[in-house]
Amino acid sequence: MPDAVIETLSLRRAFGDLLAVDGLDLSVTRQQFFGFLGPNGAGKSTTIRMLTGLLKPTSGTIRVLGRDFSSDAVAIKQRIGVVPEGLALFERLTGNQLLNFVGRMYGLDRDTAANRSVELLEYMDLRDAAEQLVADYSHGMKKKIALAAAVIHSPEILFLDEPFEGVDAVAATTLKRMLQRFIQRGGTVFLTSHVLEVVERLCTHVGIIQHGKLVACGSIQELRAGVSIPGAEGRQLTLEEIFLKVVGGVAREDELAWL
Amino acid sequence: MAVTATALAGRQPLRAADHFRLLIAVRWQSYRNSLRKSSVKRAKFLAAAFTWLIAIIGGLGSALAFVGFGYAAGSKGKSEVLGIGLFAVFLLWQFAPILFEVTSPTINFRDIARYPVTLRTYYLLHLAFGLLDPSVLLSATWLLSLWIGLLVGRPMWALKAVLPFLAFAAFNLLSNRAVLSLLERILATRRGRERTLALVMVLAMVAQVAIYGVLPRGGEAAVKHFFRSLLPIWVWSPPGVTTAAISSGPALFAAAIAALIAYSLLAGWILRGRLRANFNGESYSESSRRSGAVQMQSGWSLPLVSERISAIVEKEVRYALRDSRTLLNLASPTGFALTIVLGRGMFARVMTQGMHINISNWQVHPSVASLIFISYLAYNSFGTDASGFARWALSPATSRDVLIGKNVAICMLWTASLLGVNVVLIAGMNLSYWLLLLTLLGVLYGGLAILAAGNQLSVRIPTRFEVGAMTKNLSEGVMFASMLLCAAVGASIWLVYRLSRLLAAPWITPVGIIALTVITACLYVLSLRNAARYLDRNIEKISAELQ
Repeated sequence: MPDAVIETLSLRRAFGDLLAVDGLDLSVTRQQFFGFLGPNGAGKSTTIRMLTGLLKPTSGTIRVLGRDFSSDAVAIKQRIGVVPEGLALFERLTGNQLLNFVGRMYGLDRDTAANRSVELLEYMDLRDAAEQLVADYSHGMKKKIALAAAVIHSPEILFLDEPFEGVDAVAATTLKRMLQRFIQRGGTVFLTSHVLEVVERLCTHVGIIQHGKLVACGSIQELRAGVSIPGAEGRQLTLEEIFLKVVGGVAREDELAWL
Repeated sequence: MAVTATALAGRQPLRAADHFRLLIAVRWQSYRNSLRKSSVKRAKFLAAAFTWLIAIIGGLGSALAFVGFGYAAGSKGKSEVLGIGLFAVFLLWQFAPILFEVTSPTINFRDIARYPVTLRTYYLLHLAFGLLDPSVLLSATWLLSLWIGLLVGRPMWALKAVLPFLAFAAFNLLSNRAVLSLLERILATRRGRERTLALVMVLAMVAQVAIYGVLPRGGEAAVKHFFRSLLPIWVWSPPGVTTAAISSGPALFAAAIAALIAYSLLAGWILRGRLRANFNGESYSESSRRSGAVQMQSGWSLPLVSERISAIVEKEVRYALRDSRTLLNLASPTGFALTIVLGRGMFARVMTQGMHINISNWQVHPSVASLIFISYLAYNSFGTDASGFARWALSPATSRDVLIGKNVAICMLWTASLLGVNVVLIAGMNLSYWLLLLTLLGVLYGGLAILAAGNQLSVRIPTRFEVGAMTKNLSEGVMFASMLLCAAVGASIWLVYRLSRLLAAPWITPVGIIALTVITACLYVLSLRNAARYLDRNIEKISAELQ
């Protein structure tokens, strides 16, 4: 039995009449690079927010690293790193001060937090902006500092909501390299992304959510085996083709005729 | 590739008036949409209704007063009365829209430039929009009222005033829009906003110290001399020139009109420059980068609290010290103490006229100000966190630790402010140390009460506020609650004091305040526990309020 580090059982979240996540059963094992995909409004961010303690489920259970989130939230938070949707940055601190602060919030002693802050700023190519307020950073720089803040305490699982959105190619390569090394050293990554090429290249496993329900889940090979597209026989399907087949709904050619 | 006929169907050329109508519709729609949030709907509606009621009553009343001004100036032939009226119009027209714009930004005109409008239309829209500002409407009403008063009091002056008044109004409109567009440029960057706010506040404080602390030392003569030195500026100012045009002969009339036209052209030219830059897509650069190796910085380590709480305190203090408003509120009580010391009690005498308050007791007030001026940090302790609020929820710190960290930070700021005040008072006046001890006990009691109530209000009614901007930092409800708390704390201290006087036992005052402090400390512990629990259960709600 593989070591499941993220498990959800009948996870449900409603916002009034809207059911954002509807009976989600998910299992992610250690060292998996798990890509969580879905169209806009499918429930990806709601799921990641529930998995990281930012949102309480309406019903269902969440187990992370073998512990129940409802009773062991603090212990779980100590072992996970998160880049949430809005990045959750204290923008009136400098990059250096922010990393230092986050490190110490996760229990690092002052010297370790200070050392790691410097190392991360160097690694993320933010050394020249270390003493600038985060408020003055570009979107890509904010993404990088948020990722640095997520890893400063050496977490076991990383939850990343759209980590590559707005990041330039050089930075994206640095981030990808860092994430792959994290996986090799025993970490687990759970990410959402709209960049299917990146997910296809990085992720070992993929889950696709639509209207709050998990409509496909497995390794990319398993997904390929489960989907057939007329005219594409004999060649390997791309993740984009699989995704579009599963979620359906490409707009018709005759729509918006005036455009 | 040619554009198809279907693509062009339904497209009509728009005139400046159509653009203007659209703009008004957008502004109205934005206001209506802002009322959708149910928690603020009623409060906003009531506030708006109350404001409009006050504005209509005040507007009509003040307009009548200006008719009186105009009549008095005309019937008695006193041009200086007319000058005062015009100066009031000038002040309102120039400064009120700036305050209105800074505190309640509405439509960003830079966005309008993205639509298919010409620079000329853009310019006209900017001016037309400027005319719709409530304070501008009031200024124009005052000007019209002055003219009506003149018409009744001295019809000849009224006829002569038509052209100068129109030129004066045109100048005011152009000048105000030019200043606003320059301000918009400055306020577009975070650093610009912070510096402007700091400058405005420092000027306000310097003015207070000068008026109540320094000028009275020179006596009445110094005050008269000061105002006399301003006379040449008045003569050449737009209201001064307009007054001269009406009350003098034909030669000066022409010169005054020429001067008003020159002022208007200058303002119009500045405005055109700014609008053209906007129109051409001017981009604002913020700060420059510093290169070199990253300096290792160890965080703060405070005695008696954990490393984690030390980190929270450090973050909170850094945040507070980056806000120019908080900085000024920290420094103001010391300025207040300086005013009392330098003005030899003048300020106290003015403020307590007819109130039978012992002036020597004024040593208490700056310390109380220290406590109250930055209390908004306690009543709305998550207000500046904005999207960073989620960081608290993501981290393994308990809600109790977060609240304690925030409370310790505000205690440090209070201590710094109190230190500044009392160093000045001890150095500058004959201080009663008994009263100082009672004051500090009272401050401790009041501080604990503010923290106990503040933790509850911070988690239950959080309001987002922007560091370094002149935005509201507390909701109306919290402001009202904070005033009630101040009144309750003040009343309880007063009761203890009266009791000690009644029983002729001075020891009752400190013992009574200590007893109140102990009770409040217990309430603080209970409140902290309850607020932490509420925070744990309502992360989503608070997070949404702070977005």
